[in-house]
Amino acid sequence: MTARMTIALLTLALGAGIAHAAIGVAPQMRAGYSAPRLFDLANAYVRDGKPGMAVLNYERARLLAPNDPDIRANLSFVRRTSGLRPITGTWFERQASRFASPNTLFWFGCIGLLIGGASLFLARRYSQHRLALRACTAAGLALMAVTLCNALAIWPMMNEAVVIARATPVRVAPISLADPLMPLREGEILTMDAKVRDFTLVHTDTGRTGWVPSADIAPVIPR
Amino acid sequence: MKPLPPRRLHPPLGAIAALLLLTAGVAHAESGVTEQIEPAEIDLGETAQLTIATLDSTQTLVTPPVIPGLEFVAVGQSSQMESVNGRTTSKSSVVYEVIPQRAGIFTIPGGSPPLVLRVRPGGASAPPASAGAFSTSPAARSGMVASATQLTQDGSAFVRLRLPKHQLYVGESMPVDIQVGVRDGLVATLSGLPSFGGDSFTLNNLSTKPEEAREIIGGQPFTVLIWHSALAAVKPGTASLTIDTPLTVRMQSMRPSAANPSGDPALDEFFNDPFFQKFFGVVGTTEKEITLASPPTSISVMALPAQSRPEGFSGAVGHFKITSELSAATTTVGDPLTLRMHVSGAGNFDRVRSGMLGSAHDWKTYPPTATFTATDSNGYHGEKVFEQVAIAKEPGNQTLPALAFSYFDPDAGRYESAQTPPISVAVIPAAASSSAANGRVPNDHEGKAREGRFASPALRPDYADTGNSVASLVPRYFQPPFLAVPSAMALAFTAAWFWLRRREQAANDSRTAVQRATSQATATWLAQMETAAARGDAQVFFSSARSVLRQALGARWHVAPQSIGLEEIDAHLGRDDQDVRQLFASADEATYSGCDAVIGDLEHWKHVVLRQLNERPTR
Repeated sequence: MTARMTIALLTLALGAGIAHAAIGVAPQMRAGYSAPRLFDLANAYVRDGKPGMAVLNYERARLLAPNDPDIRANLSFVRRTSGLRPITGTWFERQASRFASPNTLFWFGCIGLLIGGASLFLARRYSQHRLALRACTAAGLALMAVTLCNALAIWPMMNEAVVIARATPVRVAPISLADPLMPLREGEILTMDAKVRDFTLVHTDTGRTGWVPSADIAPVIPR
Repeated sequence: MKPLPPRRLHPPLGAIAALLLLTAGVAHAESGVTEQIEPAEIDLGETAQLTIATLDSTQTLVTPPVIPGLEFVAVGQSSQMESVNGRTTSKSSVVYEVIPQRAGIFTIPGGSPPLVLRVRPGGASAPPASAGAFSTSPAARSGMVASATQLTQDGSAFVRLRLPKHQLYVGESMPVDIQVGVRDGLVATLSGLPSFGGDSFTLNNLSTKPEEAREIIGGQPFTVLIWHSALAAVKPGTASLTIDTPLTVRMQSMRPSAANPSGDPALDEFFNDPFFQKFFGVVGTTEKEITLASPPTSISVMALPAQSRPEGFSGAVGHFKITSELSAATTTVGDPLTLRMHVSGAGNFDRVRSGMLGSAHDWKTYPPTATFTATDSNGYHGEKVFEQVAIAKEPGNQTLPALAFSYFDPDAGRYESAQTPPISVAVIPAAASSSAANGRVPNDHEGKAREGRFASPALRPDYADTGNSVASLVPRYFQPPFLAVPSAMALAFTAAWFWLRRREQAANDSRTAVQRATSQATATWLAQMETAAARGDAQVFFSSARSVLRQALGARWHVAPQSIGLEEIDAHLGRDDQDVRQLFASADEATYSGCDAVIGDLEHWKHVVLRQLNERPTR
């Protein structure tokens, strides 16, 4: 395979990727998730006395607008009034998830990759601008690092779920007749580990593990 | 279905005795029977309560007298026992609802003096005369007019429809009572709910647990099941309404084969004797499905007038009144308020609708919600509450506009428009510029400016949707379609890097090969120099020395070795280094004239060559 063919194939692949992304973006403009919509929905659930659904939608809104003070305030308010613990997390998770929304950071990472890669090539060609090009490479790597940190911080959320039922017990086995281990509060956030029929294996932030009916919880990031 | 309990009439002798005592005007106080009626004066259409109490435990409860124009319906019974100093006394009482069927003055015998009930002519029309003998109506309601009680041929059951009126408008609903009576002793089961055919009316869902009452018709006690519902007219015209009720009746029957097997008529009396039939088990039980139908009731349905129909009329027909209220008299810009409109009264609440404020200047409003609470069992009376969230956009003294509601009054026969007064609200400016009031998501800078509001216990108000949305909450760097972009970029950079590296490698390889060949040639020529010097062969020596110097100087000056001659040497070395020039000149001379040099001279030239080889090449 000649170099020219390789470049042509790469161009095609890049174009296909962008086109696929554009196709994915197009419907989003018509319907889908937005931070204001999720925020309003969560507020409606609060007024309706459903803290579980409210927490779920505040968490989703927070994912799209991590620095919105109103979302954080209302989420804290609901958690406090529902008797739930305040929002915690490691320093890394808190800081890395506050840069910007994951979708914005995704494009930052792409731009960083473009800048870093191009500057590396140019540095080999134009040795007289080596210092400036190395600075560009560092900037590109920094953008990619920020995106990577954000992805690492967001990754645990991919398996998080919120209890949306009034009161649901954690059972020792994935059957309705199994002994209950502990009750879960509405609005509590869990981590999903596995799924068997209508039950999901979860563990709480205190480390306790058990099975809950899948209908009683809702994933923060639906897939 | 609810089985009807079999009931048997046992005419109590005590009751007959008490009735005789009542009609004879004996003082009941002495015999322990007291009577009381409240109120003593009513309008036609209203009811009074007659209470008959027995103070002596030996007395049997009395039944009310038969008085033409009055109906007595038993609505309650109570018993009380007391033991004082070892003596036990009991008190029992029965409460009857007295329903007048015409105006006049009625004397109820039995009391001392006899009770008198005055019935004034009221607005309600007198009920039509019942078919058959004297009948009473259970659980009568004021204004309700019962259709004629038409018993079945054997007089064991009936279906009756009670309506407040026989004229109504399209869309109007009215409360109705459907009554199914079964004579005591008849074992019957409802095999379905009462229903009617046709498409002129609709009936609210009937309960599977109807109200139960007792009624005496023609001296026979009946168990009456009563459904309270609401009937609504669908289209104009005159329609005849008949209620059908399916019943399963269980009755005793004699097997034909068991009846007088001998065929002798003289023995019929013996074989037909009930004792004989029960003893020998020749009596069987059979079930029969029957459908009871009420007498047809004619109802006239009028269309709603098209003239002067108010704008926004939703089809509500009835009697309504509206009020409104606001959750707070003072608010802050951006904070939500709840505006409520209460529509209460009687009518078809399913057609009671309101858009509330709609769009109001200086207010952001949301679509209203409605909840209905019935105050009766058929959903005819009640209250419907509309709730709407409104958010003030501007500070100052704002006014929420009046709320209007239009309906049709069937009694007056015209449309009515009710209106609530406007509500004043004091709107306080927000402490910080609230982005929510402007209907947009705050940016990070604004968010930091409002950090001080975090401690506020209230819920932050809604945002207006900006329209920017994503199809999935999964971050794009975890979505394969989006991952194709950086992956393709990384792949392209990697491939290009390898391509460039390979190209450079190839260039390096060719340069190295040239250097290696040059080194080998130089070594060969040096060896030839050594050999020629040892033999004293000047021609070969100078030729080899010139070749070695050409290679070295060519690499140093970046020129082709073959092109180096005296001119090149003069140009690069000038006149300072005469040894190299002299060596090239001697080489030319040895080549063309074959001069011979002494061994010592050759050693000198050898050192000159080696010195040039050891010099570092210039860049």
